[in-house]
Amino acid sequence: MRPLSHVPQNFRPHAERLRTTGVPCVIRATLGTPYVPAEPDGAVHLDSLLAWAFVATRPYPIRFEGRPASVVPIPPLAVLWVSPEGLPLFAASDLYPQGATLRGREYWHRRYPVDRAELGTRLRASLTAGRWKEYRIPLSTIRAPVLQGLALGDPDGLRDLLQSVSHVGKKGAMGFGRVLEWAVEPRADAPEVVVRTILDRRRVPVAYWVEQDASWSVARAARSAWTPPYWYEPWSELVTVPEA
Amino acid sequence: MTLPRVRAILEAVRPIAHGDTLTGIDNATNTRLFMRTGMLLDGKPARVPDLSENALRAVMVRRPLHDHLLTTLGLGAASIPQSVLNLLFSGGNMASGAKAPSDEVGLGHAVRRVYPSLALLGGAVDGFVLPRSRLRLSAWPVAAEYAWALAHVAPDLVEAARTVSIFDLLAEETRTRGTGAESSGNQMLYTYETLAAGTRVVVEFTLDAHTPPEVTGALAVALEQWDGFLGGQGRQGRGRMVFAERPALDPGPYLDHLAGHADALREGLVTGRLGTERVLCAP
Repeated sequence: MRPLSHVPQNFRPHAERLRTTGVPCVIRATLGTPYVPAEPDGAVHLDSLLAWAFVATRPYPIRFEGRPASVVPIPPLAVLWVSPEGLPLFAASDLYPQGATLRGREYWHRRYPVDRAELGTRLRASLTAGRWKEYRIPLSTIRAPVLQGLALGDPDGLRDLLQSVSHVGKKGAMGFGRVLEWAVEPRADAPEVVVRTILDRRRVPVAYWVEQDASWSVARAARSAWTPPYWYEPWSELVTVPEA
Repeated sequence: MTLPRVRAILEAVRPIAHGDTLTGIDNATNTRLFMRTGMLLDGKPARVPDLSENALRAVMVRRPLHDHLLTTLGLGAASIPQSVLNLLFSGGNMASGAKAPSDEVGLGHAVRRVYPSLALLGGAVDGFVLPRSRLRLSAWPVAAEYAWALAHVAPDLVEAARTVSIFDLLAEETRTRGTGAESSGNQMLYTYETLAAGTRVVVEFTLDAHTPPEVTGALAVALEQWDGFLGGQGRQGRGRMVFAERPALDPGPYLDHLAGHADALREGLVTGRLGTERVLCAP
């Protein structure tokens, strides 16, 4: 497997000991509030949560060395492939809603603090246009009892990391996506069967399929981010996305 | 790793008026509905009375904390730039056409170190958004429809929750408004739903794994300074809440931080530098 690139200095020892296989696990998040998905299909990127959790739980400050984006190795999670650019394809599917699911819409409001305006050096503020405009933003929400996904790795290590993830999706500060409980359950399935399912339920670069000499569906191809951080557009490329 | 997490239990001592954000603006009926969120009840979609955590966050934490900050620093009328005012009390907005500086991450963390309240709540300065807020706030009314969630976050309240449906806690209030003229025809009637006095709400505060003591202390100060009102119609006493259970948090580290850095904190707010070398909120 190729070495990872874009790894912060603190994490390089972890990047040199990549896990390439592990125990198949079902991962479930029991939700206490609706969540606001970042993806239209409601997917929550499990590898992104785990990367965030790994960074957030380090007892030392992370030196990102001025990079716009960094690759974070996730020690308890297996890596299936490393792209020619040194980016990891983690062995984790996306999390998807299970059970009775309700899609909805909520709003959040941004208001100018009119009742405190006298504290400012200027009182003039238009509330209907420009910077101080008051606005009302719709949020697409999904109410689901459980989010579920699959991963290959060390169950105890994954469970430990996920304990630090209290909310999933967007607008967690407003209470959306509160995870009441994480469950990581090992499964007896053969790892290669689980890998196939994982690849069906996450974004996978077309370069991976080509390199594996495997067939892939043009109907499922799209340009998208596929590895954490998903917000970093320059790492987007042609991928296969999960079927609806 | 277990995250720092505390809870409060609020009890309404007057009915709560808290308008629904979905139907509130374009409500076709004469009654302003109580805040609701979507839920499946017995497999059927329903809008169930609930509280907005964003509203709770604003009234319980952001406003009392920043009122306290300005008062403690002796800052009164016409003392801070408009963008600082907006940052403190509404979370801020980026300026039109603003470009983020190349060292925005470092600047953002510097601001968070100097102002624990902004570390707690986050916000936006002229050119960029501060790093993720350390506080996650969730809330559940103590009612049968929320018993499944309370079983995880407040098992001691599940039995009480199962005794009442939140729909049975709803009522309507109608008020009148007139011009004071003799004619009775100019009087306006308006009606809104309320949640009954006696309703209890579990509010959960989750902090991130590396929250420093002065940031936790800021949350303690916010809860001490909160005026106890939630939702609308407060001028008529609606939404008055009391703590049935108050989290045990130590305000000391935050108060020590304010006392030890008062001049720098004041200067940062007045100039818009927020404790850095750059003007982050232009006058």
